[in-house]
Amino acid sequence: MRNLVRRNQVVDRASARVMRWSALLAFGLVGCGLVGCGVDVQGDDPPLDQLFDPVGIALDPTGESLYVVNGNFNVLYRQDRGGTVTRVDADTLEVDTAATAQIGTFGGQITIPAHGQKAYIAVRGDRSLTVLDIDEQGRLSCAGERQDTAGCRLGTGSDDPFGVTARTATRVQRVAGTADCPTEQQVDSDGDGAADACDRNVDVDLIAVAHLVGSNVTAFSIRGGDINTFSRVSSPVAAGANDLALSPRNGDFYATSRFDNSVVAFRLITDPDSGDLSAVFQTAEIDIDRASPFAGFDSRGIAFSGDGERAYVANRGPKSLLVLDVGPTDVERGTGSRNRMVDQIPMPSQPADVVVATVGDRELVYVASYAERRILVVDPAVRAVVDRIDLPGSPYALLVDDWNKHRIYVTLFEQGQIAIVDIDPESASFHAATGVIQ
Amino acid sequence: MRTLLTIAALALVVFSGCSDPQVPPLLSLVGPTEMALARVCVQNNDVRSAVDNCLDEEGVRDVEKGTIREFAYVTNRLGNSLAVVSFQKSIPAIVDTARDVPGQTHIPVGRGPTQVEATRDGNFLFVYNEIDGDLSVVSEELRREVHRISLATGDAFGLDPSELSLNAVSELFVVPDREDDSRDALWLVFPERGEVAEVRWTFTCDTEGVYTVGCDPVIENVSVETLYSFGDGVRPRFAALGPDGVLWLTFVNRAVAARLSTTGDAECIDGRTEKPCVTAEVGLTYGCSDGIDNDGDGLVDAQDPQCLTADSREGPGGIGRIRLTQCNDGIDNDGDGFLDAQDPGCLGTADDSEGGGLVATACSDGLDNDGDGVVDGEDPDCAAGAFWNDEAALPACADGEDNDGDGAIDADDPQCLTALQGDEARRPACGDLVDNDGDGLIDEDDPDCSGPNGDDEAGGCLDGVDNDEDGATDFDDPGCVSPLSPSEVAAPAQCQDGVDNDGDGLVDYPADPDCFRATGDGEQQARVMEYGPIAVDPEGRYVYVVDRRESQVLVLDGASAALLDPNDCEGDLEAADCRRRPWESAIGLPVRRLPSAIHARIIELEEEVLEDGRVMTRKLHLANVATTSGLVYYVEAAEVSMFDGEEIVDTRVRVGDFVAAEASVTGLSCTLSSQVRDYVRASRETSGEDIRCATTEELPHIISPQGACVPTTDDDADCLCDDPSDPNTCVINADRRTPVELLRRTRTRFDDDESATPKTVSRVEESRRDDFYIPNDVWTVTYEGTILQRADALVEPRASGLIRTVSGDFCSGGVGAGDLLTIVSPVTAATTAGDGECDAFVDVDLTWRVTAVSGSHLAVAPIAADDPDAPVLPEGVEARVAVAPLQRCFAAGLLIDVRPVDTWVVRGRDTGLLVNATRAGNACVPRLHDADDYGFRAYSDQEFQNPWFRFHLEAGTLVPLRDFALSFNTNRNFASGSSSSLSSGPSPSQVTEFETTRARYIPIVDPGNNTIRVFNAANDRFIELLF
Repeated sequence: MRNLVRRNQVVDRASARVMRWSALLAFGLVGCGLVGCGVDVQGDDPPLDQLFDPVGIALDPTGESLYVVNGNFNVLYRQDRGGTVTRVDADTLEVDTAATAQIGTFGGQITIPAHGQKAYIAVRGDRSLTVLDIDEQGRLSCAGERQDTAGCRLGTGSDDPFGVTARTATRVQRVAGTADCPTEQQVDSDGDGAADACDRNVDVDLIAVAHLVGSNVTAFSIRGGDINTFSRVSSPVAAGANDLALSPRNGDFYATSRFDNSVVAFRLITDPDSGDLSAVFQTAEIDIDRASPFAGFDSRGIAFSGDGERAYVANRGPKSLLVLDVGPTDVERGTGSRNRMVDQIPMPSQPADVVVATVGDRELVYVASYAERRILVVDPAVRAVVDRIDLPGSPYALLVDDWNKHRIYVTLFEQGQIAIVDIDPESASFHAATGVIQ
Repeated sequence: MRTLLTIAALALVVFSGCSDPQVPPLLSLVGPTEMALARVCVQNNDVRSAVDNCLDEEGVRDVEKGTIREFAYVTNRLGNSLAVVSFQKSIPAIVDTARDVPGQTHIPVGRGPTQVEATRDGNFLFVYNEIDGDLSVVSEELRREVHRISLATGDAFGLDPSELSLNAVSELFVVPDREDDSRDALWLVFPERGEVAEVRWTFTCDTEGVYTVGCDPVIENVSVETLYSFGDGVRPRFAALGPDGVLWLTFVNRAVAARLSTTGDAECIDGRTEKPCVTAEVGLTYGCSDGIDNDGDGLVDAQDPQCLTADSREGPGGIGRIRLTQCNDGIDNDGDGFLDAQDPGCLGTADDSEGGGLVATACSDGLDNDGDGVVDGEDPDCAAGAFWNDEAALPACADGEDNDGDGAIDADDPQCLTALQGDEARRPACGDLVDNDGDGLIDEDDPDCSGPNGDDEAGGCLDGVDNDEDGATDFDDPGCVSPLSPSEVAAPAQCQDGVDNDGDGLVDYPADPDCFRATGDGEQQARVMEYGPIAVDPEGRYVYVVDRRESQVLVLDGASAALLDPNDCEGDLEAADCRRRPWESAIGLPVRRLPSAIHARIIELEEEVLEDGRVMTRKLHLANVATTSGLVYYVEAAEVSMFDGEEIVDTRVRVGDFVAAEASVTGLSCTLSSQVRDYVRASRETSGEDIRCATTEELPHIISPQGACVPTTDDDADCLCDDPSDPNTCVINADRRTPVELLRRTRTRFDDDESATPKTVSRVEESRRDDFYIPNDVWTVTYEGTILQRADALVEPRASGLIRTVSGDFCSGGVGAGDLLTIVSPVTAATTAGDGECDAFVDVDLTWRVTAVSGSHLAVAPIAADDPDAPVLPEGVEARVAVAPLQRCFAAGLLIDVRPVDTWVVRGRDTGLLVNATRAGNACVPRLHDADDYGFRAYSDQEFQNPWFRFHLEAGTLVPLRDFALSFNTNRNFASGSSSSLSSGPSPSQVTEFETTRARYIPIVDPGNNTIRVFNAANDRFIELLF
């Protein structure tokens, strides 16, 4: 295990940047290569009332709104804002047209922090982290604008941002004035005996973005929901980082890699004075051992057990579900992290995403098997596949809601749908696909 | 390389965007997980029976008795089929079961087959289908499934979510039917059900129980019944079948290996009166965390006061890594009525005295303080525990009364932080809003208060007084969280703070089983377990258990049901050649990377028949462990030699070494800088001979260790004795030994003497270096070399004479009182022009004497002018600093250098220093292992010894210069494998052994890359790759 502070490439504390149209030239070249099709800069606006090429999905903290990133993968619509983020009502399973916002093409994953006021989307087409507001009705916008959200795109500086995850930290920020400031937080900053400032608690969103190409992970911080306060740091942490997950035990980010034979853990370091990001600190590199060069080194989804003691990684070289021991090294104090692989369960071809859900009295691991068009259900306690769930299409991303609706949402990329899988152990349709959203 | 990969990745992404998934190629093996050999004797082209019927008395094929079919069957987990491998010829090959169908075809079975076993007569294969949760019965002749056996417990499998995992089977065995051993039965291990089940059946061709050629068998009378249930939520997972109806198992949620016996005389230990029952349980970890009452006192693990931490042992005979002290010996050494972990005098595992402690309370001082005739723990007023300080009355915070009349009683009273507080109205000095010490600072504003529970604002950790009379003062008292702590009485630990810290409903020690002692730091849960797979050798003599969490293999004695600790010198810790490996907390053999499959073997090394017919044999008991790194380890349990009815067991418990050469020491040399040369020449009247490391008498040398020895053979030329019968007259022959002597082990066995006529066999003892434990490293022995150098130190602002480290640990850094600390960083320029207070640090040698060491701080004092050990002043410096360092004169982030006085520092380039100290609280205590020769300081004209080597450091005629260094290399000469040994793929699932009429084979199955490697068991050489 190595603890390294990787060389940080860019530290950017500027105000919010507006993506320049000149960047589209570079995008166009990349997009042309990515698609292998003809380039069409102009085009129609995408539909706002349906799903198409769904990739990333996320739930708001209440579980009542499902947000879907639609990728415009075949570039049927204008490339600059041909993708969308759509809101689906989790009760009616209907697309809320009024809530949809347009984003760049080739959107990736989406994450919504616990406060539920922001949505962060990695967009490959414009190499951005797109930051959207979520209002009380669940509608997405960029400062009220739903069609042209270019003003809410933060450049990542590296190609193919895809995976994204975030957590929120609270820090104390001293601001002038004592309006609406609790007495115990008022401060006499100039020593004249009168309180003139307030030490306010400010939420800081820390967002990590994984890039499918290159070896960078890009991290952002945004204070108080104000995109103008963003700071950015990049660091070469994992080659072709595919998926990110946050350890519930120690708050470290974990990234899988498509090209390195390891899972990497890292931490975001903020400057104690400014609160801005100052470094990405790699805390561990978990070797996932020798893969056959004929099978590739490809690791995909990663998910943690509820107690944060184990992590599960869908691996494609060899095809397996890896079990990682990420519990504490000092059991008595709960400190440290063991970070080593302890088991390997063979999987069918192309395991993709992984989620962990609490079902009844146990945790089960759900693995999307893209080629098999099904989800495998693994009981980690007995390390056996205990069920299989057939799907009407090839599953890519999984999203579990085991506290509100007892469901798993599954993106069926090729079909342009979201399948719903019932994981309510009391239900007659337990472990069956009960419908689709489209 | 990264660039190329990135380009390749980009290309991949380009095309993957439009064309995912890729079409997989046609494969012969699709996720193979397990392989079983079916051997059948076909007699008269009619009856198919066990292969023994086709063999002669010597086990050789007898063609007149019939023909032999030998085919192996492989579960294709992802292909829902069985592949067939022919062993009819010397090179095995996959068989196409349907040649008229394109591609390789297999035998269809249920969904997700993971395990397969063949009946003893080879006529049937039983296949466990993981997805379907049932068994496929396959006819070996027909190569077709002929029956399904449901394992479901409910009426309809899969509809009851709570039963989702109930049908999961982790192991499958074919065994003789207990009621009729001419028939077979199956044993299945169900982890979720917590049981072993037995499946019995009959089959009929023309006649029941006789399989005839061309038969389409009918399977009948199938029963699935519980053979043994473990109960209490215990989940067995891995298992291995031993001889005589014994099944060894490991568990998902227990750190033990259990022996389930169905026959024999071994007594049941599970309360049952008849077989099948558990006849042994072996802890697979330290005795204090295995869930077993190792010492039979009715107390298990944390409940046993001898268990101070999870890695200690319940009794002297158990497995643990803590030396035996007064605090874990099961004896009330100080007679206070409390023993070991219950005694507040036992601060931790390294504490060798029950006396003293955090607080010398009236309930633990051995005195009848209240004169009621009973002392300490026997006094009912001490019912609150040993930490209560009044034998005359229960504490006001535990007496059930509202003592201060505020309406709140005991724990409900906010004034009662713990039950042990004597006064509901009393608040600690650091939480009473009063400036107790009159320094103008109140409570937490006073730097002498480390927290609201502190009871002294006056800094009890810097006063040079043993305030709590526990025998430890200031830095040495673990109660001093830092030198600036208010008192030597530590704040309550989690295990005595009256709070249910982990929310399990149990508070503190001893109620919460996660608390090993009252001074424990956390009520944390037990650690995760990943034991298995497990293997038993054909004689049942040794059992091997894989510990995937620690990447090690544990070796058990199958007969005595005991763990063989590789680090206890074969049970003789007092043996002259006993060395425990430093930092050795593992109790198994490291195999690195993920061990995934294991197979136990017995290799016959030698067999000699004497003229009189007596036979000598030597056998090696070992296990092959396949890992995901591709390396297959040879874990050797013992070499057993037998002759004339006598057996010698040379217990090894080592990883096999494929390098014939022994570990060695090379490159003995020294640093001959120009300074050293000039120094030597200046001492000579004439120029003399050239200056060389090995011969120059002015220089120190490493030479062979001197002293007594014990000859290992009658003619041991390495050990010279005046009287061969008296070891006290023996000394080491320096001419024969290398200057640096490496660890050795003595092996005993029978061996034949072919030079004798007639040939004889005798007992032989052989001493060999223990390559397994010798590290590859470059060692330096440096006179007054640097012990510790840090760049993050700072002068403590709140007290003078203290150097603090920001993030390190001075205890494990090896610093000791008496060492010299030098501040290398210069005095800050900004202050030198100020009030002159920093002038004392300008143009002087900034070296102080270390007077005390704690984890976070070093106390330093100026070196007296008449100090005989004062170091030489650096060139150009005329004076030494005469005052303690001041924080304002030095920047934060100081570079400090600590060196010993007139001492040599032994350091490995990779190993570093062997420091026998660690941090407990903030005090330095000895490390928890029990290697007496654990250290790094060597002295001239004395012998130095650490767990790996020893040498004698001969002084030269001159006092050595500081930083003069001697060096040598230790070369391990050890390899766990070679090109001529077994190897595996990246995800091995099975290592097994087949005996056929042609040869013995070792197949290694790998579902990750869909291959089976086949090796020749006679020489472990590669034969064929099946895919």
